Amino acid sequence: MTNNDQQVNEDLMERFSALINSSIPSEYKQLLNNFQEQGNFYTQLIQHIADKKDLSSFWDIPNTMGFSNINNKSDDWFTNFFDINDYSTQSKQHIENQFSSFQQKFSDHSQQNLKQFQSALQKMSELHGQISQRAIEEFNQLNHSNSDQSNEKLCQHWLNAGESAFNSISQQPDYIATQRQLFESLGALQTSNETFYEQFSSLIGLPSTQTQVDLTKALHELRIEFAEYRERTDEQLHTLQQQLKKRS
Amino acid sequence: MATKPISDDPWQDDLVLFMDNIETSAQQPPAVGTTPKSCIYKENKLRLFQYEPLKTKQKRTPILLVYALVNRPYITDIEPDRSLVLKLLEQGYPVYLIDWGYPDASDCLTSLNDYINGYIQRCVSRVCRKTNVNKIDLLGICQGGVFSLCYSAAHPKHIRKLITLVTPIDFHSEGNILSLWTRNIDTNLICNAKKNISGKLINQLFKSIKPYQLNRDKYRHLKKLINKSAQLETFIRMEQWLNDGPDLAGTAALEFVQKLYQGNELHAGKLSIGSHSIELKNIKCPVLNLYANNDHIVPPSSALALKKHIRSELYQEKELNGGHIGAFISNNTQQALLEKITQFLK
Repeated sequence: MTNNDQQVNEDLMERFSALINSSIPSEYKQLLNNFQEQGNFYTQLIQHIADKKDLSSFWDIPNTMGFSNINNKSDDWFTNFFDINDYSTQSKQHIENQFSSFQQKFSDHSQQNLKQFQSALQKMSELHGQISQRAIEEFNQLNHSNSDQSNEKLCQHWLNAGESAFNSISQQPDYIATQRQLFESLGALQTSNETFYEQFSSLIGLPSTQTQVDLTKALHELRIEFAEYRERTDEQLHTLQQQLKKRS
Repeated sequence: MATKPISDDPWQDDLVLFMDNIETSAQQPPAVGTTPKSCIYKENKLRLFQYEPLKTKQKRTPILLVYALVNRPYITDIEPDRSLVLKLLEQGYPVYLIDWGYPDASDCLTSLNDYINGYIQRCVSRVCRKTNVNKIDLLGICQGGVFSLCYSAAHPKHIRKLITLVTPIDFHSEGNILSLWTRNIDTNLICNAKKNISGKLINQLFKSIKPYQLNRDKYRHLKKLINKSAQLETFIRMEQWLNDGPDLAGTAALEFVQKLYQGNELHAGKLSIGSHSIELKNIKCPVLNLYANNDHIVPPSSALALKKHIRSELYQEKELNGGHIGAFISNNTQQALLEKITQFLK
C-alpha cells in the first residue's frame, strides 16, 4: 500500500467514525456498520480466493451469525449483579460469604449441565466444520464448472455453496440431535441459575418467584375479567341503541 | 474472522457513495405504517385500528387483518408503494387491523385461548358493531392465519369469508426446517410459561434457517441500491421491521411450539384451544388459501395441507411467486395477490 493509499484509507476511516458518532438516526448507523463489516468480509473472501488460501473460515456459522464478540465484564460484576437494594452496605456479612453456602450446591448441579453443554458445543463445532468442508467442495465444483470468475460470480458461488451445505447437514439426525442437546443443556443451566437466584433472593429479602408469578396471574385474570365485562356492557349498549333506533 | 479496518477494497467506492447519501439525506429514518388510521379499541397492549376509507365506492363487508405474534403487523403497510392495506382501501374495502403490541413480563401468562377466543373474538365483535354487520371477512397472515383458522372453526357464525396467506397447516411437512429442529426438544427445559421469549432470539432463529443469505448476502445486494434512494429506503424499512420483533408471551409461545410444531395437532384434528375443540372441517365459510412458492418459513407443502380439511366447494388455493414476505409486499406479486383477493371476496 502506498503512502497515498494509506492516507485515503485513514481519511475514509475518520469520516466513517465521524458519521457513526454523529446524530444521524441509529438505523443508518447500524446499516453503515453492517455494510462496512460485510464489505470487509467479501473483500477478504475475494483476496483469499485470488491467493488460493484456505477458505473454510468464510463459512463459519457462529461468525456468520455474529456470535464472535464476547462482551467484557467489569471486575466487580458479581457484587454489582447481586447488590440489590443496597444490600452490601446494610448487611453485616459480606455478600460473597453468604453466597458461598449456596455456591457448592449450585456448582455441583450446574457442572453436570455445563459438561453436557460443552459436549454439545464441541459436537456442534465439528458439524460446523463439516459444513465448511462441504461448502468448500461445492464452491470448487461451482467454480470449475463456470468460466465466469468475476467477483460477483465468486460471491454468488460462495453463497450457493454455503446454503447448500448448510441445508443438507442441518437436516441430518446428528445435527438435529446435537442442536437439541445444546438447547436443552443451555435451558437446564438457566434453570439452575434461576433456582440459585430464587434461594439467594430470599436471603436478601427479595420477593420469591412464586410471589411474582401469583401477582402476574392475578393481574392477568383481572385484565381478562375487565375486558369481558367491558365487552358485555358494550354489546348490551349497542343492542339497546339498535332497539331505540328501530322504535324511533 | 477478524474485521480489518477499511482498506483499498472494491467496496470502498460504494462506502464513500453511501456515506455521501447518508450525509445529505438521512436526517430522519423513513417512516413505516403511514396510511391514516384510528384506534377504535384498546385492550392491554392490543390495539384495533380502522383505516381511513378512501373516496371510492365502499364495500359493505369489512376485512380484518390478523398478523402473527412474532413480527409487527405494519409490514402490511410498510410503505405506500408496497402497502397491502392501501391497495385494499383503493378497492373500497373497509380495512381493520389487529396490532398485538409488545408483550411485557406481565403478559407472560397470555395463552393461545386468550389470543384466539379472547382478543380476536372481542375485535371481531367490535368490527361487527362498528360496521353494523353480523359477519366479517378475515385475512390471516402466517401465524395470524393459524389463529384465523382456529377462530373461524370455533366461531363460524361471525365469518363471511376467510383468506389465509402464507399459513402453515401441516407442521411436519417435508422441508420444514424449523419443525425438524424443534420436534423432539424438551420444550419445558428451553421455554418457560412464566417468562416471555425474546424477540431477538426468534429473529436469530429465523435468520439461522438461511444463515449466509440472511446475515451476509443481503448486504451485498445493498451495494446495488446505493444509487437509488427509494430502494435504499425500502431496505431500511425492512431492516427496521426485521429488527423490531416483539417478545412472545411465554405461555402462548410454549403452547404454539408444543401443540403445533411438535404435536402437529391442527393438521391431525386434535387441537383444542380453551374449551373449543378446533376441527378445521367446522369452517363453514369459503376459504382462499394463498401460499408462496419460494417460502423458506412455511413450505408450500405445509400451507397446501389445508385442502384436506375444508369442503371442496368452499376451498380455493392460489400460488404466489415469491418468498414468505415478498409474496405480499413485493411490487412484482402484489397486483396478482390483489386480483386473487378481490375476485374471491366478490
